[in-house]
Amino acid sequence: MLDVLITGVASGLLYGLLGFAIVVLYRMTRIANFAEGSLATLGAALVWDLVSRHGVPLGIAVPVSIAALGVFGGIVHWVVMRASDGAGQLNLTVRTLGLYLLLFSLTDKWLGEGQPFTFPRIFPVRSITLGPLHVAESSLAVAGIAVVLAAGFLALFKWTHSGLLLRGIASDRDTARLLGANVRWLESLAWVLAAAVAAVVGILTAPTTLVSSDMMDSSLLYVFAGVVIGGLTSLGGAFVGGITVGLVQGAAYYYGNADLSLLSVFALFLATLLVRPHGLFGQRAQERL
Amino acid sequence: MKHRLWIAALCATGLSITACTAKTPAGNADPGASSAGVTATTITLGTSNALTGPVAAVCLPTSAGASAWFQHVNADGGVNGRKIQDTVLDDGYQAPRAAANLRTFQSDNVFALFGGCGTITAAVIANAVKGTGLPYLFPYAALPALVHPAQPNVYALLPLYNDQARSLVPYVLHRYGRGSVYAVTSEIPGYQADVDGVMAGTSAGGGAFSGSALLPSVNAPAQQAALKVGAAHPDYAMLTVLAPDAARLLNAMAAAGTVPRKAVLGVSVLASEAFASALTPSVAALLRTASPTVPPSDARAAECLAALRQYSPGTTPDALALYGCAAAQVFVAALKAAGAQPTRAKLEAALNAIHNAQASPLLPPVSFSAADHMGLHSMFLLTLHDGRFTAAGTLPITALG
Repeated sequence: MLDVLITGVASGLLYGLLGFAIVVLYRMTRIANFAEGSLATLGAALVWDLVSRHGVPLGIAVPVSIAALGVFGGIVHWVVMRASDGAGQLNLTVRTLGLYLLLFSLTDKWLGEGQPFTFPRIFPVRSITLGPLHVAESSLAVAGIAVVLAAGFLALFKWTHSGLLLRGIASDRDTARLLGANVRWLESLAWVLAAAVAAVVGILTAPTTLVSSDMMDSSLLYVFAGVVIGGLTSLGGAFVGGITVGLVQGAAYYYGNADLSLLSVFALFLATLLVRPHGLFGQRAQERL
Repeated sequence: MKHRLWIAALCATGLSITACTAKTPAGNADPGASSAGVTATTITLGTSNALTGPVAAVCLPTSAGASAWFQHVNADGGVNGRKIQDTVLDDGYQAPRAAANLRTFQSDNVFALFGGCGTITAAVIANAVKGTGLPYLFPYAALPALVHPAQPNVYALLPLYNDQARSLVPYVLHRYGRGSVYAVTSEIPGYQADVDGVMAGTSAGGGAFSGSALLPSVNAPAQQAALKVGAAHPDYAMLTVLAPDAARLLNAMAAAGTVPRKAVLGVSVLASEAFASALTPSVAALLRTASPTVPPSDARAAECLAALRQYSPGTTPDALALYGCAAAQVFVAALKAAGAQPTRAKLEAALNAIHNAQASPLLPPVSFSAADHMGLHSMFLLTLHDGRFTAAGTLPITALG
């Protein structure tokens, strides 16, 4: 039972990390970024390409790829997502769908024939055994990295100038602008963070899923389910929602089967929407008349 | 004159364009043509295969192997002076794309559909060619609909997964010792029959069936599945799953310390060097798979390996590439037997006449008949040592029929 819980939490933390990036962007721009999974795939594909095709050591390829994805996120914001006059939220959200399809096709073309590919090992293939309990060290490592990153982001948002400005824009964009915050620049920063986090998630996921252009497709459904359950406007809720989804998915599969796993997660998703439309920790939408 | 006018009117309506242009059965005016897709100098084939997508690593080599052998045959002058032209279109292991590829081949009027790979896509094509007369030959797919019941124009070489499991499990239980067997299957058409095959094989071998797990067809939850298998503490795990999912599952089992005690058994799709290279060494050493062909390390593979080196040097010469080459060799043998003026009907007659023949050096003896369109009735048992497969015996296949 405990090993199922730990594995579920490790999966859930990865969902939570990706969900966190989606929530950061949503709070800043009111756009649900459907391309987040494609950015994660791109990060993993870049590491694989550098290591397997160009012989770059893994220890260099990983930070280079995370940094490159961050820069790419900034470029995406300035080239694709900057709202021109008259472009509403729906327009921008649809652009993320277009970006998802574009990145999928480009990654598919880039990786080429013979997918999926083996990803270089990041963690040793060992398990910790305590009586009947078997836990892969990689699961514990993934969980540890996710917790450290989550704590890092918490510190960033709580104690740094940029983090406070980001929170300010997320709370009240117009007031923050009137007070002199450079909204464009901070939105770019949010895209940089979102893309870099996506790369981390892709790199941590790839040893298990192997590298292919569709490696994040099934995960993205669970990520969005976690975000909606936790609350689309709550940074902490993204993690709670992700872990909830990971636990339900894992336990339902372990004690039931694959169909029950999918059914349970989306039953929970629908129930949350019915009972708490703003999610467990999200803010109720208020509009002034 | 009136008669000519009547004919001209018919032509003008465009309703009988083929009749009015006085074409041969091949759909062109070539005097050397004997059938659709056949000219005096060429025979055209169509292949829908997963060149990209979740099973591309497994499927891609099958086309490369076939193409290499066709080029080898063409370089030697072709079959009765005709070069074999095989057009390969990517279906990404997606049913709609396979259906679209089929429509393209039908409009191109190919002589036959050859090869391809993947159960989901083969199911679409097998259903669509029913009653069309268009031959559909030797896809790398263990699909019951290909052979049960036998369709006049559909032929298979790869024994069904449930038959492979039903035969492999008792063989291994006898050879490596009795024990408990756990079945893991992919959510592909006919998966329940695969579980039934494992249960029947376990019973026949005197083992104990300890449960089963079903993986979604793509991107299965490997870590949870590894824990589920491990909870049953089986001596053997019998995998009838897609190769990428098997790699994910077995690596997750190695990481979680839930590897079966005696062996991991696999159907033919796991007899791939690309798959094996993705495995953790501790679990790779336990792998025992069924394979329709000898492994690349076997001397009988030399001719195909030479063709691969010459015409497809980028292809890893694994069991899947050898299957493609072997299927091409069986097709060429049947085409030669169909005579100097081949037609689809003559090809089918030639195939039905193959009985216990060594149609390819890579395969066990091949037999077809009008009532049985499954060509192989035995396979090879492969084991993995230092990343290379070796043949460890011949496995008779018990088919339900």
